[in-house]
Amino acid sequence: MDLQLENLRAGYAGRAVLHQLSLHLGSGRIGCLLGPSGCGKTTALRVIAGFEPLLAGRILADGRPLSSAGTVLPPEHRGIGMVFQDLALMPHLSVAGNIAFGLHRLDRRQRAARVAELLSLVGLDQRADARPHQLSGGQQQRVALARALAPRPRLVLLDEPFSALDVEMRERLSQDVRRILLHERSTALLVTHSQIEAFAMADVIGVMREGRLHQWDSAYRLYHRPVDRFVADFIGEGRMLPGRREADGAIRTELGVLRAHSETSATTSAQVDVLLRPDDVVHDDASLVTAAVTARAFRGAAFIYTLRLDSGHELLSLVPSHHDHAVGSRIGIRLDARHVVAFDQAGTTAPGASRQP
Amino acid sequence: MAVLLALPTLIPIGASLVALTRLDAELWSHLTHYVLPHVLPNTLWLLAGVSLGVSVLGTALALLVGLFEFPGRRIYAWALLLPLAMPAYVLATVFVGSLDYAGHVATFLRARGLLLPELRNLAGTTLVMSATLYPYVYLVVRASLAAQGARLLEAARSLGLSPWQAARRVALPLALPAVAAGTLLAAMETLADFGTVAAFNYDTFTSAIYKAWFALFSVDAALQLAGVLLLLVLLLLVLQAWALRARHTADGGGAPATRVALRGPAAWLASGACALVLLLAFVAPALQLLLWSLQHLADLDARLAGAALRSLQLGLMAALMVTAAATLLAFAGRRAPGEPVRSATRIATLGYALPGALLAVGLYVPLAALIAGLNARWGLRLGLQGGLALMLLAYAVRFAAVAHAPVATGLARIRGSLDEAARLAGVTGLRQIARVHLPQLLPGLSAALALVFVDVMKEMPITLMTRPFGWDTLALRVFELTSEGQWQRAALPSLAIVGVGLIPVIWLMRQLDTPRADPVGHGPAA
Repeated sequence: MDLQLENLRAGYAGRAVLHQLSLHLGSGRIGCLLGPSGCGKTTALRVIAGFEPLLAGRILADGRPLSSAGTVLPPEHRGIGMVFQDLALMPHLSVAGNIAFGLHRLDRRQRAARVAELLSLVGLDQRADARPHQLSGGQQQRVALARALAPRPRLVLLDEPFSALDVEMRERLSQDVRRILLHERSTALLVTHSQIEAFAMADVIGVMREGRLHQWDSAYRLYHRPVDRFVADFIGEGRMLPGRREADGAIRTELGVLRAHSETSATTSAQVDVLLRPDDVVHDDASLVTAAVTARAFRGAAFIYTLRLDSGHELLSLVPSHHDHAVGSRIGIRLDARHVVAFDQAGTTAPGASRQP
Repeated sequence: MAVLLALPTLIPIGASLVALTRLDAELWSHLTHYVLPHVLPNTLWLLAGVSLGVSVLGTALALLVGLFEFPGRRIYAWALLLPLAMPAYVLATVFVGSLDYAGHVATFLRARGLLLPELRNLAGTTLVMSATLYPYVYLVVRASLAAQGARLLEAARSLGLSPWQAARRVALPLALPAVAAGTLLAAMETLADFGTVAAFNYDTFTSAIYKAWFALFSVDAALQLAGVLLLLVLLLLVLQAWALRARHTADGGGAPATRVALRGPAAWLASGACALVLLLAFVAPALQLLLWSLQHLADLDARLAGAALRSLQLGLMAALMVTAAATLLAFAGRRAPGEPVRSATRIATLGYALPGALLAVGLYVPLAALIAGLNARWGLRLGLQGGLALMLLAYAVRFAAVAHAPVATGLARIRGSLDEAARLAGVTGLRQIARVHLPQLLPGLSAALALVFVDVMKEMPITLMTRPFGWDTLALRVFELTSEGQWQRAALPSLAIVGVGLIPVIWLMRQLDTPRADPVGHGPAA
């Protein structure tokens, strides 16, 4: 299903939880809304599912309206499946009974065939008669997914689907779920606060804060081309370094002049902050610029050093782990930024018009 | 010491069971020939009818009010509890008084060629008792719906089920254990009922016990009937334990379900159904009582005032005594949380299931024997029949659970670290109870006092069978006037009982509202 959200506004009169939410999710794609808790991403899912009304805006499925202010197509008529955060498995039904729950329009034989197909797809053939409480967390998760997929919904919504699981299980399952969704050719929209889950599962990711969508883009572009300080800060690691815009467009910083191949910025003033990711700051013993190591985090193949410049500004640097420097020592660094991301110093760049890919 | 509090409950149970093992052949053959063939099917049919009535009525109303939105729903949500305030025997009085052959409504309709069906039979008794007892089911099913949360219903909707289908395939199956639990409570009340069946002249075990004792003057026959009745009670208790275990752990999660707004005819049908139940079970009878009371204000004499005073006095005495015993039991459970106290508590709070008629005869026989023995041994002249002590003891057994629940809940809320902090400050023993526990326990204690007080005011069989000679209470006035066929004059004492009965119902309504926040537009904003 091709999902189109147009200027959604939702919540209660006087206290909107969603503002001007617009996005487009192409058929067969897996999208993700990513943001801290309380950012409105779950509300977004619930209006798409039809559980909450809209104050303004429209939701279109394959060009036909599902919701607009004042009219809501009931959830059961939308053909949208949902995996709930707490899974919401029916405690009085077996695994097979749960998966068959939405198949009441099929006859007995078709229903049994579809249930068997899904049981094997999620790898639970042996547990068809178990009750939900007899399953592990990961197994329950897969039952919830199978149940949502069983009626072949046009769109599957997943609300923090892995929040009840431990970290290792999350990574394994998120790969499994992506494989299953692709196998079923379903369009899916996922909600999470974890970048790892979002990156592992989604083709396109929206970063949300306080009910607003800041950027709707691929993971690569969110990291390398953030449209504002919030996205820059929320996605990946990095630090801001102040600089001054030269007449020729290059940016002069205390580490030298940045002359990039390309640039993402909506800056208007001469005083700017440049986003420097750990991989933009390269360790180089030959460099004349040095910084003091104030902290270090071992990541196996590499260290992430936290460095303090003489000006007092802080940087992060990704350094292969055979360069073992103690906290307090000084190391030489240089910048290797092919793409420059800069923001006005005055304040946050407003989420601009140029965020759609 | 606390363990001794289980004793009063064990005496009538033991006495009734022993009576069954020591059957007097002649007496037993009389009972099996003339009493049981009549009373046993009567009781079982009534039990089945009321169980069916309350489970259908209570569940349907709870589902309607809990899951759907329709005109007047907010009012019905609490108003549907009102029938709890009206004892079944009061409703029976109104029904018989107005709808029986000589009743004014029946006469009015007959003059227009409409003949009402006979009322004083199984159908009429079932109807009246279902109308007063359905709130037991309504209450627990609503609580169960609230606990299920919204998520499971939303999951069902996202899987293509309409609101009605979701209610039938998710909410109802999950609520079934609650339906069973509520129905069993109502069934216990049905077994215990005396006043209603007496008003309808429909013989069950309780009325048979009364007649055996006070008409045939055979206390042994009464005790043997109590023994058979006890077997039925034990059966219900076993079913109850089983129903409680079958409860699903449905932590559906999230806020209670967003109610689905009904539109058009469905909305008015839902509203009309609730209105009809409320009208028949409470509003119309209450108005009728008021009307009759106004017509018989002359009855407001010294005799009625004396009865009211006596009710008040008995209620207060029993409330203080039962609450004190329940508090002792609750504290024992906190101080010595071992198996002996736990068992004692379980037994002592079992009395709610024992019909008053059974308690009266089951306590009287062994205690009378004991006192006769003491008198003979030491040449004393103690009496028991008509003794206040027996009456209060029977109340204590019957209502111990009513007082224990709020006190124990209140006590459990007081954290153990407070005891330890008080101890470090040198406050121990009774001083600790007085300075730490009792002040925090006040809400629980006052709830216990009020509940027992009201229950004793409404109580009929124990009061009737154990009262000191010449004692009159409001409930007994109702009984006497109705057995003389003076239905309309029974309205005044009935109205007083309903008025007092409203107190705990109003308290319950507020309880019901507190855990559920305003249902309009909820939902996690995450």
